[in-house]
Amino acid sequence: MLTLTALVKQFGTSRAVDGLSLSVGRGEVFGLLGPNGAGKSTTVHMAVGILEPTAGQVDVGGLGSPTRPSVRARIGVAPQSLSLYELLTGDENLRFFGTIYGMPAAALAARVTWALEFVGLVDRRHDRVETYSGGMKRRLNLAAAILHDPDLVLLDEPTVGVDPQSRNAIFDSLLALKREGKTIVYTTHYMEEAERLCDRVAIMDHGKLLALDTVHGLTQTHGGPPTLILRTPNGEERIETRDPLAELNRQAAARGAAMPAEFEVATPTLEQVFLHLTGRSIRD
Amino acid sequence: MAAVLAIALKDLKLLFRVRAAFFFTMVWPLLVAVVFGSLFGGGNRGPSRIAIAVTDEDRTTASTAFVDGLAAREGFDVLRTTDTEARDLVRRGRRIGAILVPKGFGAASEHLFYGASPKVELRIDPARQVETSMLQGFILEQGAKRMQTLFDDPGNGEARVAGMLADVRKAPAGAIAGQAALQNMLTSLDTYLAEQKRADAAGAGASGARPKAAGAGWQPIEIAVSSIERHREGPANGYQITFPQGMQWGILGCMMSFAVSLAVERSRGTLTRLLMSPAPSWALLAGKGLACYLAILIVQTVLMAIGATFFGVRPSSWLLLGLALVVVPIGFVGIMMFVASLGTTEQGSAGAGWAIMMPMSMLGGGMVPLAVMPEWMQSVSAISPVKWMIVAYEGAIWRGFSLAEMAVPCAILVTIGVVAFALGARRFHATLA
Repeated sequence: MLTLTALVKQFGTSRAVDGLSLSVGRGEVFGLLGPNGAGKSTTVHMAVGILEPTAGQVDVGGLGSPTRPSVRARIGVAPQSLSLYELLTGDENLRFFGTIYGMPAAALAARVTWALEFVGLVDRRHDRVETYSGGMKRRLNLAAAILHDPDLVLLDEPTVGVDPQSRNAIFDSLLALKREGKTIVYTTHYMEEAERLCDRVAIMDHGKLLALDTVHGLTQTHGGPPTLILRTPNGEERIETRDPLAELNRQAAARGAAMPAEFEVATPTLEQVFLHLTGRSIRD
Repeated sequence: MAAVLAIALKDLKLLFRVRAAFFFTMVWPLLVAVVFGSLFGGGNRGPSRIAIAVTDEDRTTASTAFVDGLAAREGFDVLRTTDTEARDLVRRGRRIGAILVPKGFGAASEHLFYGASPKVELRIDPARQVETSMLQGFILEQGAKRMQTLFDDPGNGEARVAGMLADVRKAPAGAIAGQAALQNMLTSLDTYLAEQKRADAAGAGASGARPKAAGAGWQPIEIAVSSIERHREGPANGYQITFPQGMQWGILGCMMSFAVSLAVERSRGTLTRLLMSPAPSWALLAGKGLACYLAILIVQTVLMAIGATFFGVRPSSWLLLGLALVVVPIGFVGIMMFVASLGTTEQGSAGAGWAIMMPMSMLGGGMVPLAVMPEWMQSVSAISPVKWMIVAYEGAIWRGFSLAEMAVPCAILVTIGVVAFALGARRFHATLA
């Protein structure tokens, strides 16, 4: 559904995206992970056609470059910044964006209602956006992206800066989209979101693709072995092991009665994958 | 086209939902037009009347008729009061003069050509020379009317002449200068009036109406008054100057609101979202331009309608006014686009906009009327689009432009609009890249 080939974007002397190649299949939820400044938003802007790549190519659904309006009409975008008109109501915002995306007037009203119901804002449809909470604005931002029933949905940090309750509501909406079989490209620096939602994840830093695989594949390849954690009266003992159960048995046999009663097995996370790949935490 | 209309409608909604923007595009221009119009003389209230105080101490039929004559006279504002208060009012500047009708006025009015003349006293501020002359002239006119009444009604005049004749005959010899000649004159006058009375009676019997005899109603001089509309070379009132100026502020308010709104769209991210849509970027600019055009058109039309309805700002040509209303926004939409392209932030666009438009307004007659500017400044003002906007409106309102004359400011504004829009759109696309 989306193919990026040797994509480069240069701003002056700074290279925001450096030779990025990847392909997102139809119906796949694809995570683009990286810290702020990794080049995720620049990649999204090139994928949607508002930034011209310095080099490389973007193809959407085999239709060609998204700089063509007909290709762009197949894409829905929820930008990182809240791209809404605060003095318009939620309903007016969606009607406006629906018209801009060329939706026929007859279908627009029903589709606006569907989108507002989808994100749980139908009760507030006639309130001005300026009266919405941050989380509600994020949900409306998402509604504006999916209103015209796009084949490809690009979500740029859709949960940034919202309270946990709104984050869960947004996440539920994204899971519903996933069940509908939408192709979603999801940029985030929240590893747990990517772990929960994404079929495959690409990890970026400094504009380069560091790794691309399923979450399991990434943790297997780059996350290191699981860790057996024993809780003793003096604190914790952490033992990295490829086989936690065998290691637990070995520790019990060796310690006898002194074996701690509390223990835990920590599997590797994407955070550890990122740490392994870059040498620093994603939130540094 | 649907995208252009949607953007225009959205921008108009946003403009009129921002209270400050609504105030500065609609209310503020109206305040400027009305307040400064009042200061410049306001509407046509006609010439001011001369305020005088009158004291009638005689209280006879003649004195009452004299005071009533003053009060009925157009151009005088007569206050009947006591002599003390009248003097006080003049002293305090509340009344220009005071006229005292003393006792004996009625008695003296009974005779003509002999004895003491009826007397009035005029108290007036010596600095008011013009008004003094006018009052003296008017009082003399009232006096002359005493003589005229003899001829207006021959029956009454005959009785008065008979009374005067009896007085002269009874008077001791030498008591009245020229007594014999006066007696002869009054006798002749008495005969003349009796003949006039008979002529009136004969005419009334013949036709039922009361035709005037040849001498009846005779007056020393008759003034025939007819109206000739003065050809005005200037505005009929102050509002005809200040409403175009006020409309200028409305236009600048709209223009700046839309110029800044493009920067707001940038900073809020809505511009990015619009650029990500299938709508081409020219549709975004066209939508903005259309919204700005419609907003200016609405503001101008509303202000003009208020001016025409309540403040006498009636155009000399409705057709030319319509042309100005349609063409003026084109120039300022172009300037809006150029200003919008100068800054990528709200502060940058607003700063650049006011930095350009304030001098344009000052030079173009938006603050000081073009008519009172020195000649050199009027020449320099040609570089300001504000001047051509004001010339277009004044041409339609009071300058009496022909279509050919109106074509000049209109063509200049269209040229400015097209060139500025093209430059602005080019710069805007460059900043996007």
